[in-house]
Amino acid sequence: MGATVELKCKGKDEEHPSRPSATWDSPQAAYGSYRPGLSPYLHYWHGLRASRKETEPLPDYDPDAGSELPGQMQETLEDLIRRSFGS
Amino acid sequence: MIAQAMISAFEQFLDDPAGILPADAINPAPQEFDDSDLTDPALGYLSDDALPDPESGCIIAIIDDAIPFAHETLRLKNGHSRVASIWVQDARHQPGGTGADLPSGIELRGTAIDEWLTSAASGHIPGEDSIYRQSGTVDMGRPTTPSAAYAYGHGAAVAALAAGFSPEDPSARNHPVIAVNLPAKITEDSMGTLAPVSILASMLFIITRARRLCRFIEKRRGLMAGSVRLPVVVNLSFGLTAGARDGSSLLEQFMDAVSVSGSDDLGPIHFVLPTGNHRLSRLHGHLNPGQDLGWRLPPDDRTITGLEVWGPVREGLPDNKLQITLTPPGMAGATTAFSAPWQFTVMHDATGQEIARAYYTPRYLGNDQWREGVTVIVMPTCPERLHEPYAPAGEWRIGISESSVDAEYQIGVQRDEVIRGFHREARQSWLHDPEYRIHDEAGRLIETDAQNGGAPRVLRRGTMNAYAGGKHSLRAGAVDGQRMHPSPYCSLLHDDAGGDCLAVVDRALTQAGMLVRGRNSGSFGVMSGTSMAAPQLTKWLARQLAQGQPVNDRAAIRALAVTQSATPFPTPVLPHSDKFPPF
Repeated sequence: MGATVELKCKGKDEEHPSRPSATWDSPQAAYGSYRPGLSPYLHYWHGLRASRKETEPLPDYDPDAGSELPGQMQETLEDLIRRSFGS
Repeated sequence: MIAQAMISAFEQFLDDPAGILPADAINPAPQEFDDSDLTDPALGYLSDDALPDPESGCIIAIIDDAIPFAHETLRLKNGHSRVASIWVQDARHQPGGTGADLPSGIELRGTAIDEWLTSAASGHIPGEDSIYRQSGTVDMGRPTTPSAAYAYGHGAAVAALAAGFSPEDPSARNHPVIAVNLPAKITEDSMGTLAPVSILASMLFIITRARRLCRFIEKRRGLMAGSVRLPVVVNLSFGLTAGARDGSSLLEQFMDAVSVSGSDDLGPIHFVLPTGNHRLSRLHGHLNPGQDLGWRLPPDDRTITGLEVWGPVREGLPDNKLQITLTPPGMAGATTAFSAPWQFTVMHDATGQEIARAYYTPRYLGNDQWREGVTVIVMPTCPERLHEPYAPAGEWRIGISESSVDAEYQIGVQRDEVIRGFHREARQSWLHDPEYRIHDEAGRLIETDAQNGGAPRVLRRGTMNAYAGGKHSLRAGAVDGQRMHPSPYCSLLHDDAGGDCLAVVDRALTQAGMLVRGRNSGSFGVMSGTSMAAPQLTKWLARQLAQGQPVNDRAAIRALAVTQSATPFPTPVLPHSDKFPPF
């Protein structure tokens, strides 16, 4: 069995002060409303295709614009079921 | 009303920011669905001589690629097709054809397939291959991977296992088939992250066409409207290796809801999925705040690399949001600063180049229950185009910030491999913990966490397909025919089981794979994986339902399998034959 190694999260100035820092920029909202299939991966692909001029870029949203998305997912689900079994 | 529902539901499918569909596949003017499918012979779902028994039929539905709809195992002895409808989502749209209500591609129905088969049988067209080409399913001149042209593609094997019968088998007629050919780009994307919309659209299509098939049977047999309610078993041999795995994704919730809600004019719907193939791939682990794990990214990966972090179920969304610390190789790490749902943030290296992104994606589970999640996307370690961002290969580290709520967090790495036959220069990343052991002292694979010993943060338990975390979907695992024990690759559910039911896929521990049918009648190949187990469970369940077995939920289905299994415990292995049928 391999030796037990305690792995601790390192702050950027701990232990390796000479290493260059990676940085996160300020969080932005990815979407303003929910729709089926929406995901971080789709957001990335959309951005990549927009950078290649293959599609329109996504609009910029306020940082809190996605706050309602988790609740909207439930409404989307109910809508899909209604459509599946609509008479 | 049905037509309007279909069109409006597919609006999301048409909004295709990932470019899944070729431009010429789009239906520019979807039309409303009317009742002409019940009266126009050209729009018929099945020949009268292929209609199932209204009382004991069971529809088998398949969502995959390369569906061999002209294959002999999907025909009856009288030559008629059992395929009532197939939607080829990325075929070039044909104005005026069947499926005018669909947003893309073409729909082929049973009576049209019968015409192709008759033409082939009479020598007017040269065989099965020409059926796929002339119908538009295979078009070598288009810029998409023609997996339907492969000698033995994934969907060909899956469809034949799920719905293939000997034409001589009298029970075949009771199993009409509805199928969806997914776009090549969905199969190509081994991460599976582009698939949910296409799969949801496929499920809506299957439900809608299954209901119409029931009405069609009523009409042709002169039965009372609403009296035919065939059950449906849907096979989805696709999956993800990262996700919440608790049934909370839209796709899982939809499958659960459809499984229990049903409809007045359709029988029960069951979904069957593979348990997954990544038990030993080191893609799953767990961490507490303040801990971190190695995450090794190979060089020359021209695709993004994904990882998801999911917290425990908790009441309310905490003020101190889940934050992750990401440490690229050779750099000091940095911690996110999320403050609201669905925020994303971009990581830059010291030169200002984008190397990764993170998204905060909490899920509301109802009743004030929440699960926090973060998705990390690292840029390709080799850019697809020169000017595009790329990230360093090597050992990254993923950690949970000490400021996050004290709990255990699940870590999942997305699959990122090249699918045979597809162009996609992917390379699989994996989690690294020195305490995780791959082999024992004798050189054998260590198959369980208990055998590993110690307390590694990389786990084998809970490696199940992230589409299969719902309460009602059935999970099929793979065993080898000698040990009748789950194959080492077969993922594990949260309770260490290899699935709800198991099926023989591999011949032996040292002989992976089983004989499977190819696209053309008489062709065959060898394939492995739980994708081959799921269709075996699908077919078995469809036969049980056709025989009137009163099994409505996962527990009842498993209990029935136990009664028929020669290896019923700890998880029932479905009855199987070592013989490959000769037709």
